[in-house]
Amino acid sequence: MGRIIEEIYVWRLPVRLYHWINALCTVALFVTGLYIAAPLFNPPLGEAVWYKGMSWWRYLHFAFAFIFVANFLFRMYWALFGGDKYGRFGGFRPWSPSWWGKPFLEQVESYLFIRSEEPNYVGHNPVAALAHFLFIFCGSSFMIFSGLAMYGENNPGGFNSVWFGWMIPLFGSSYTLHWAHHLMAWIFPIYLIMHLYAVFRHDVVDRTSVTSSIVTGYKHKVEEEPV
Amino acid sequence: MAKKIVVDPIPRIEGHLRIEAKLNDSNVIEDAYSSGTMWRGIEVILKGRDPRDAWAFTERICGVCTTVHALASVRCVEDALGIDIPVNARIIRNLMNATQVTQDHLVHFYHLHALDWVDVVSALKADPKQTSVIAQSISAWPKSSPGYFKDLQQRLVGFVESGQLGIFSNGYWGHAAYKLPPEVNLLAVAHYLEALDFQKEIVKIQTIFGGKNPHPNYLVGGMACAIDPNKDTAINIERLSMIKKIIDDTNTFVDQVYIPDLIAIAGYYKGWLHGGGLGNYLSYGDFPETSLADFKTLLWPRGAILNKDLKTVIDVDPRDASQVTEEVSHSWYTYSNGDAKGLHPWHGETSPKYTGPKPPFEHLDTDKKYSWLKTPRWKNHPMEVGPLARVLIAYAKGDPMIKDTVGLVLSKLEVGPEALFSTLGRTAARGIECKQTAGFMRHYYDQLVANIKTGDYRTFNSDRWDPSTWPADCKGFGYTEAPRGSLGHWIHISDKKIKEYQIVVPSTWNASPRDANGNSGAYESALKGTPMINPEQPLEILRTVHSFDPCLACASH
Amino acid sequence: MQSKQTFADLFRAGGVSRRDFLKFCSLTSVYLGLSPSMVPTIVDAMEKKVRTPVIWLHGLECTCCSESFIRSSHPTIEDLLFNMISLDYDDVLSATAGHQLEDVRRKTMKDYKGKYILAVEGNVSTKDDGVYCMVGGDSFLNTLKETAADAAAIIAWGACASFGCVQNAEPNPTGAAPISDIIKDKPIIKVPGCPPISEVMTGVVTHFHTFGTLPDLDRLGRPKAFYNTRIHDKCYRRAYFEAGMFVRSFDDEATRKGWCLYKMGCKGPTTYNACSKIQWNGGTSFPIGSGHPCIGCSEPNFWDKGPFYTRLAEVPFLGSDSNADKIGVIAVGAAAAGAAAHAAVTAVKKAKAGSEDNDKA
Ligand code: HEM
Ligand code: HEM
Ligand code: NFV
Ligand code: SF4
Ligand code: SF4
Ligand code: F3S
Ligand SMILES: [Mg+2]
Repeated sequence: MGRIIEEIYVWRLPVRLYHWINALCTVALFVTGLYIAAPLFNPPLGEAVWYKGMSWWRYLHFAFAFIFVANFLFRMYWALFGGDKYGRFGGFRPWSPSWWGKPFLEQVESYLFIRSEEPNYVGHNPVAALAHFLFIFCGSSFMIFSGLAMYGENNPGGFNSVWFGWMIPLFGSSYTLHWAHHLMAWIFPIYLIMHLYAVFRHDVVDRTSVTSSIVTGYKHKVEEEPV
Repeated sequence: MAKKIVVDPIPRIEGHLRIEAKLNDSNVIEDAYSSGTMWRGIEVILKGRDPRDAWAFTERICGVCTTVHALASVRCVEDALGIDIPVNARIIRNLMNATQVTQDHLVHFYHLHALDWVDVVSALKADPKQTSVIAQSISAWPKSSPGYFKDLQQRLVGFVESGQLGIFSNGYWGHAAYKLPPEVNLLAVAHYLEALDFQKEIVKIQTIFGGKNPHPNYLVGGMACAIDPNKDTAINIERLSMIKKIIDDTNTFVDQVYIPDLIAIAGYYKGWLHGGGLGNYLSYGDFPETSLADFKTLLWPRGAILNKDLKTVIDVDPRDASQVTEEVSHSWYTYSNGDAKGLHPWHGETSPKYTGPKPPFEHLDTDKKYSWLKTPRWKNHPMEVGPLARVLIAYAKGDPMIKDTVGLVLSKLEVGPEALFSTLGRTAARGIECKQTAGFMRHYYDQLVANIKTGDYRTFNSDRWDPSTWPADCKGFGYTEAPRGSLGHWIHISDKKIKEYQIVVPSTWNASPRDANGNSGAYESALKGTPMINPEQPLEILRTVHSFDPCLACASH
Repeated sequence: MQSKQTFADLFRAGGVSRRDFLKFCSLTSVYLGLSPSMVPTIVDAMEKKVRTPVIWLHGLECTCCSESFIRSSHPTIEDLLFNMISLDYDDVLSATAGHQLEDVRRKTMKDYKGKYILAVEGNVSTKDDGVYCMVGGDSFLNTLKETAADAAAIIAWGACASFGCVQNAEPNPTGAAPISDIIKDKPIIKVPGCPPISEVMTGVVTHFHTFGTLPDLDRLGRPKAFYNTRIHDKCYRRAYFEAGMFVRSFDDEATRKGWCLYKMGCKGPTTYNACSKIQWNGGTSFPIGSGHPCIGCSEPNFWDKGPFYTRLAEVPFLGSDSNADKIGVIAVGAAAAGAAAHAAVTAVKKAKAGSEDNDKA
């Protein structure tokens, strides 16, 4: 390892907390969600009311879901009002054509090995920002809206049914919404694979200790090593 | 100069049927054309689907003869996959089928057919006391007091006086073809309403086994309803007792209301013996006592009769490519190898191609294609199917119950067996058959109880439930005798999916347009030669067409 | 449409005195050959409310909605026909035929302009000028538009008229469409189900007759009184669902014990209907009660959510049948493979770059 020439405090505690709560919830929601769709285990023989073979899994799903929602809302708050340079979604402007310009293209080219220089960012690079936007922001929003709409089916006319129930006619039927929620669940493992790969790779290629940064908060700039 | 009259829409049937008839100068029907004017494409929609789902799709072909397509479909898939169903499942299916035929025939007689013979408005003039006397002379049915009929008559008057005649609006009341005295009309109206109330009870048997009616649930491999006399969540003694009561009540209703009414009404019309038609009759048979393949044990025998020859019943094999065929020479479809050559359903094609006039139109071009029905033929003969065909085939084969009942009805009406080849014969055969199937219901109830007593609770065979156990490519044939006649489903399963599904329906046989040789279908042929009193009021056409109990949603599917 | 005019009202509006009205009633009885004792009955009938005129049209359908309607145990169909509605036009029950029947339809449309209920069973064929469904020499599409124009409200019976039933399933060869796709300017009450439960059907009519208003509808246009909650919310097997006690094969011990049918593909958790509450045929049973999973027959497009015996619908993906999980696993696999490939290229590039550096050194 080369000498550390700079140490930057990138991920402040709220972002790190958000990150790990989010990671935990996503995994838990994916597992419990799939179990709800295809319950595997047989309870031992006995009276139905003794066992929670299904309701326990559903309960977990909903519990994690509400933590997930709160955490998500908190992150939105932090981005807007946190006054956190790297925690804002400041430079992210996908609706403006200029955003798709040079920095973005350079990053894409670099991932495609067309360009040998790796651009270096302290916060999110533009491709990562786009991935976060699509998978995490849009994906989570969809899971939350559809999930709350389905949750609201338990109590027609109640809060969730009034505020999120319109998702059902939008998707055509309750079944179609379940189906879409189920299908979209798969974006999370896909994201996880790409995300972990990107993180580890950047660590190896840029040597900025990104991996530990999401635990410690610090990114390091390391001096080029003489070979 | 011949004139052409059109009857469309035709109510008191299922679906959309249009009759165009050519009358001669003395208002006798010279020629008739039967057209089915709807098509939904169920055979096309089935392609590529899971064969275990097919029963639900085909069941929705018709809600009047609900269950029969589901039954033919599960039988067809089981035939293709080589599944033997448990004994209980066979008995339950037979019982549901007998229930269907009984209920369907009863509803047909009172609600779809009776108003062709019964003048509702004339009932207002009846003497209720006299009606009571007549009722008590023909039946032990308890609802027969003068007060009962008087009360009904008053309600009827209130109804007519309200000026809102509802379903009776603009009827052909007072038409000279109506022959019943007011008292008998009143009796018939009373039983119209009683039958309307009672028919809903009969179907509860299907609800117990299939969860609902119309459209009870079936299952490839058996039935989904569980049996266990010692559980509160399966068919147990409470469920069986309900079934038993319904069966008893049904037999009482048929014996004390339907059959006496049929004989009483027919007695006034035995001079009206039009509507015989083809004289060719076909039945696939049904109600297997063992396996379906063993058609020697069918309670309703299989066979064909040609040219009213009751001495010869010819063997029938619907799997034989040279026997059952469908052509489209006068139907709005095309075949890849020419429309005139009939195809066996295992090689069948369903490619719609409408060539009729653009709606709205006055007349169809009956020289060319004019119907959404294909034209089924048996060894190239147009055939009549349905209660009359089945009764005649059983009669010709010497079935003792049918021989006795037919003999009884004929002697009460003081007519010979030749009177059976008529509109009236068709209507009488339906009543005779209804009595028979009400009896079958008892028979199957007893069989079911006896089998449960042996400790056999199985209703489903799971051996071939999993598609990985299926052959890569297979074909199957499933059949039933539906209320309106012989129903066949032919399937080709390939790679676990439906590759081709062809359905040939009773009303397709009866209501088909003519074939490439110009031979008329059963409706068309039955209408020929019928004199009409007033072509503006086509009561005679309704009579004969209704005697077949048309189902056009079935016929075109 | 709530203010049902009686015949007495009509006479009064026309300036006819009470005396003349009574005279008219007795004349009517003479004309019909009835005894004078019938006159009070006639007066009574004429002073009663006019029954709501109903025109019931059939499109591409199977008539099972009509069949279900006549199975009603409360109210009975007789009570309905005699006391609540005047079923002026109906393919199943009407006595008359042909142009006489069409005349009845036109007369009701004229006499009760803006006051009659149009009940529709079935889909509308929209393809090829509607030639897949023609009635009385015209397309059902035209007849429907014509009859809807002056209706007070429309009842869409069954899955067909509400959402599009079996004929509307893929590939929908006739262009079958639900009523709400064709008629946009009338209140439409959707009463889905294949068929709907009889008491639900008659209940909708009786609600109107009794309360004088259309029932409250949910977001999909269904009466809340019958479609507010799912089969699953009131299913007697729900305790087994929560416990995780499932039927795993038809006719196993769990089936006889009445355990939950979720794993057999039950669509109860996503199906809005009254089956598990009021049940079928006078409360005799309902699909789940007789051991068969709910196939979701009151839900939009339920035919294309099959196979019926699995929870996850089959969908075409990469040219063959698949489902959400299969698609997901393939996508995850592709992501993993992509990452691995990218890692390999990175490693090769890095090694190359390293050796070049070495060469320079
Ligand atoms: C399901 C699991 C995970 C999800 C959904 C997830 C999601 C995210 C998100 C949304 C961010 C952006 C942070 C922000 O701006 O708020 C992020 C950043 C990061 N995550 Fe994760 N993460 C997951 C698991 C992990 C794991 C297991 C690691 C490490 C081993 C990790 C390492 C990082 C690092 C290093 C960053 C900062 C990278 C950068 O954007 O420059 N993540 N993650
Ligand atoms: C990462 C986020 C999430 C994932 C991966 C996820 C995954 C799943 C999956 C796979 C299912 C099974 C769907 C089926 O086949 O019927 C499911 C069901 C469900 N999810 Fe989620 N979910 C997530 C977030 C949420 C949220 C935020 C809520 C909000 C309350 C929620 C509420 C529900 C509900 C109500 C069900 C239906 C449960 C049932 O039918 O018993 N989910 N989820
Ligand atoms: N034709 C016909 Fe059916 C019958 N019976 C079916 O197979 O009526 Ni709807
Ligand atoms: S909704 Fe179903 S039951 Fe009703 S007409 Fe349509 S296919 Fe038949
Ligand atoms: S049987 Fe169906 S509706 Fe009933 S609890 Fe189970 S999943 Fe729900
Ligand atoms: S299949 Fe239909 S009848 Fe009821 S239980 Fe399900 S909605
Ligand atoms: Mg066919």
